[in-house]
Order: sequence, then C-alpha cells, then structure tokens
Amino acid sequence: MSAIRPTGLDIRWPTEDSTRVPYEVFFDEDLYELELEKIFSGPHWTYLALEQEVPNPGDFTTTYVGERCVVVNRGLDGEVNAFENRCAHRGARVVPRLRGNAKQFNCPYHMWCYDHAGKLKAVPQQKGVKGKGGMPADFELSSRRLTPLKLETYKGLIFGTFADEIMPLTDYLGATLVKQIDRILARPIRVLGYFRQIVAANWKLYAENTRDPYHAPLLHLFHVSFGIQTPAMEGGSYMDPEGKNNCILAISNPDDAKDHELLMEEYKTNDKYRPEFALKDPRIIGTKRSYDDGVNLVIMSIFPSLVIAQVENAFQIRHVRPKGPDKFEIYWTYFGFADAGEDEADDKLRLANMIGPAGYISMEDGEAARLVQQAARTQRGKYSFIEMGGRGAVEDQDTLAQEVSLRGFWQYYRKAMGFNGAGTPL
Amino acid sequence: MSTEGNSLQAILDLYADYALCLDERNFSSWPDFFAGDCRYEVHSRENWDLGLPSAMVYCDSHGMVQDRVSVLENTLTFQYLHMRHLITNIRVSDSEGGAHKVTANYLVLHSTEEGETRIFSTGKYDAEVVVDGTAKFRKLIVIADTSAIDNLLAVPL
Repeated sequence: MSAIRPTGLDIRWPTEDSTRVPYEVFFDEDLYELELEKIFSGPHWTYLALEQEVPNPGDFTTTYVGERCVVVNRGLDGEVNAFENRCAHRGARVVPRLRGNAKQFNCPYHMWCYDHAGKLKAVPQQKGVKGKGGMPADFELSSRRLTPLKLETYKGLIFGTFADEIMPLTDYLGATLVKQIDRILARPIRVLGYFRQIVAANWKLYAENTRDPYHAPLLHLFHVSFGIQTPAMEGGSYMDPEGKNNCILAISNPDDAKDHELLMEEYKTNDKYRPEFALKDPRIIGTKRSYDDGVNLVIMSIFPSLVIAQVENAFQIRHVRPKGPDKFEIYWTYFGFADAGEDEADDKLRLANMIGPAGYISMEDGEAARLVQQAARTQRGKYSFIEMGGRGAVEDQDTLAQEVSLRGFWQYYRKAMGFNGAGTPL
Repeated sequence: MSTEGNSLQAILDLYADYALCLDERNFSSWPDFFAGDCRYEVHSRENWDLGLPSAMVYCDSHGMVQDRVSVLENTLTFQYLHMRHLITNIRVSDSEGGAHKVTANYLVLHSTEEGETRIFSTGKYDAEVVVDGTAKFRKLIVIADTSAIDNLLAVPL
C-alpha cells in the first residue's frame, strides 16, 4: 500500500479531537490520489445502485466507486453482479452506455467477450489465423477477467467494495443508521427521477455539509421561513460507533411555533430575514406525510459518499462522486413510493422543487462548498475551526445547534488515511 | 407558415422579451410571460428519455411560477452571474385548441463578474402559446440536454 505514498505530503492536524482541519485536505492533489486508494478502493462500502434499477436478466447500469467506473448488472441467472468497466486486455471501457440490457459484454476495441459476472468467455483469434499469430499456447481464458466487486444488498440498496477484507454491511452502517434506513424504506419505493449537480469543490466539503445541522436554518432561509428545520426543533446528530456515519434528525413538536418566534429575533441581524415572506402557492409545504410520525428532516451520511435523506416530505438518495480534488458530482435519485395514491404521487412532483440542483433548499449546499473551496486554495498550513457543540470526545448530540459529527467524520478519515496522531500519513 | 402575421410576430416577440427579461435580471416580471392557467417545467434530457416523471423545476400553477422568482429574490444564496439566453430555431404551428405549439432551441451562457464565460445549459423549449394581442405561455416545458447542472439552477431557463 505504501508504494504510491506521495512525497512531500506534509499535512498536520494540530488537535487530537479534530476541532481543527488543515485546509490542504480540500485541494492537495497527492492527498486526493491517496484517498482514491485508501478510501474509495479501501475497506469501505460504496453505494452502487438500487436492485430495482436492474430488474430483468441482462439489465445493467453504470456508476462510480471513487473515480472507477463500475457496471452493475443482473445476470442471466438472476443474480446481481458488479465489475469495473475496464477491459482485462488493454484497459478500454467495455460498456459505453449509461444503462441498458445486454446478453453479454463485448469490449468495443478487440471484441473480448465477458459474461455478466465479468468472466472472460472468448478472445477473437485466440488460436491465430491460418496457423499464425494468436495468443501463446498456454493462455487460458480463466486467467483474465474484469475486476469484480464484492457486493452486499440491504433493503434494495446495492453496496460494493474492491476490498477483500471488509466488515459486514449492517455492522459498517451501524444500528442507528440501519434503523433510519428501515424507516425510510419501509414502503416499496419508486424512482421518480435522477438529478445531477456538478460542484466545483472537494467532495469532503459536502461530507461536512450533510453532517452539519448548524448551517441548515442559517444558509437555507427557506428552512426557517417555512419551519422545516429550526434550531429549536427536537432532534440532533446520531452516529455509528466509529463516528463515520451520521444521522441528523429534526422532529416537529407542539412548541415549534412559540420557539420559532423567539428564534426569529436572532435573524433580525441578517439582511436576508423576511418575516413577511410567504408562498403564493403553498402546496409544497405541509403535504400529507408519507410516514406519519412527525419526522421533518432526516439526513443520513454514510462514509464515504452516500446520503439518504428526507427533507420535509421529499425523499432522496444522493451519491457523491469525486472528480478530482476540486470537483464532485451529486447524483440524486429522487423517489416516491410504489404504493402511493394519486394525491401522494402528485405531491411528490411538486416537492421536487425542494431538492436537487434547483431545490429551494439543497441548491445552496453546492454554493457553500464552492465558496469554501475558492478561499481554502490559498490556506496551506492553516486550519478550519470546528467547535460548535464543544471539544473533546465525539458523542451523539440531542440538539441541532452543533457540528460535532463533522469531527466524527474527520476522526475516522484520519484513521482510514493512516494519519498518525497529529502527524503525516504513514 | 400559415400562422397569421400578427400572431407570429407576437410569438417571436414573446421569446425575445422572455430572454431579455431574464438576462436583465428582471425576475419579478418573469411570471408575466405566463397565462393565468399555466405550467412551467424543467426536465433533464436523461429523465425525459427514460420516461421518468420528475422535473427539476415543477410549477403547475401561476402561483408556483411567481414563487420560483420570489424565493430567488427573498431567500436564496447563489453566485452573481451575467446571463445570456440565446433562443433559436423557433417553429410555430397553426393554432389548435386556442394555442400554438412552438418549439425552439436554447443556449444559456453564464459569465462571472470577473468576465469568464461558460456554457451553462442547452436544450429545447416545447411550448403552448396563447395569443390575445400579446402572446403568453400556457405551457413551457424545458428539456435540458445539460442534465448535469453546473452548481445550481436558481434563475429559470
């Protein structure tokens, strides 16, 4: 693993509890290469696709693990498979389309033929032509194959990893997150659309953002204006034992309206405060809940690159796909429920206005990440400051006025990357 | 082209005025381009081709059209950019059921305050336009080939 250890990588963490994060982690190119190896190709589960996206034998869809393109498919035997989209001959991308159905996979370059598991089935001119050329006599088809991923599926979510040794998926997620996934996926889901958002920032700025309940009612004035998440709501941050996965919850309670008025006082210093602001057509707020349990907001962040969320009554999966140290894509899978009646299905079309790249709430998160990225670029040797909610041990929080689980992310990140104490990576 | 001359000119004016309104950041006037009973949707080409129902922007009432731009002006944080909407290849069908079917291509360019220009979005407009003196959109469906949005889509396409 140390063979590609970058030279000159000297990134220091001045505090053990990750209340300071060195800005280099957001732009250093050597560090980014190391992340692709240790995190995305390391012992972590990456979300790949939904089982229902490959319903029939031969169906395939493509995704990314880090920057490695991966094909997820259902074999002719009905089993789900995944392999890296890179030919075992000379490295060409084997599957050129985003989605489709295939009886087999032929590399366009030299027509090497693979089955759905990625096993090599045929090599044109293997025995040569007219007694000349061809592969060496000792070549065996079984000696080459597409790189497979180990898979586990939970509630219709397919996860994959390139690592040989990894803990079981539900242990990796942790009981807190499993419980929330069970809640969100208690009904059969129906994909309503995909959204793509390209953000000129480092992927970890989004990992911070989705673990940060402090920003939500401040950056997103829409949240406060319509009581979706306010700092006074019941809720908090709840993590897995390693601190890498987090769930933000915000739950409505009868005191919300009163607390809300008091809080509005705090916004009077903000020139964006608009107490009189109201929607002309308020049908996107307060739709009949898909789960009638008072939960207003759930943001699950699963290391390294998955978010499963409910914002008001809009449900989504967000897959964060790094594209270099200063660019990532958010691939949104917006879903409703297969057993929904007409009213609920109609509500979901209007609720799309809340989420995605044009979402009244979520569009601003990319902008926040972009603004940090621009400023961070010149800050080598300096640190961001993360003390909302306190210092020291990373523990679950029963308040939304904190950013403690960012430190959970960084603690785990440091371990996964091999940062030794306050020093440089091993 | 058998559409009556006055109607055709009103429709061409609608597209030119629509582009000018957005390019000049005159957001509060944008809903005036829509009829009282109207629909405005922005779909990605990806979802459109897959037959998936969800739009990125979905307004099925004039109130929702107004909300799109009032949220923009009142609550949203987004980068200040200069915009150019270039609308071309406008094809107008005869009036049918009180409306003309109109298709067009669009290209939206963004330039930063420091003057760097990028293509932001390209695609097509599928519209139903009613003409009563002036022309207005009864329905404007934007299908963006640019399914991957550069950061965010705050200003309508």
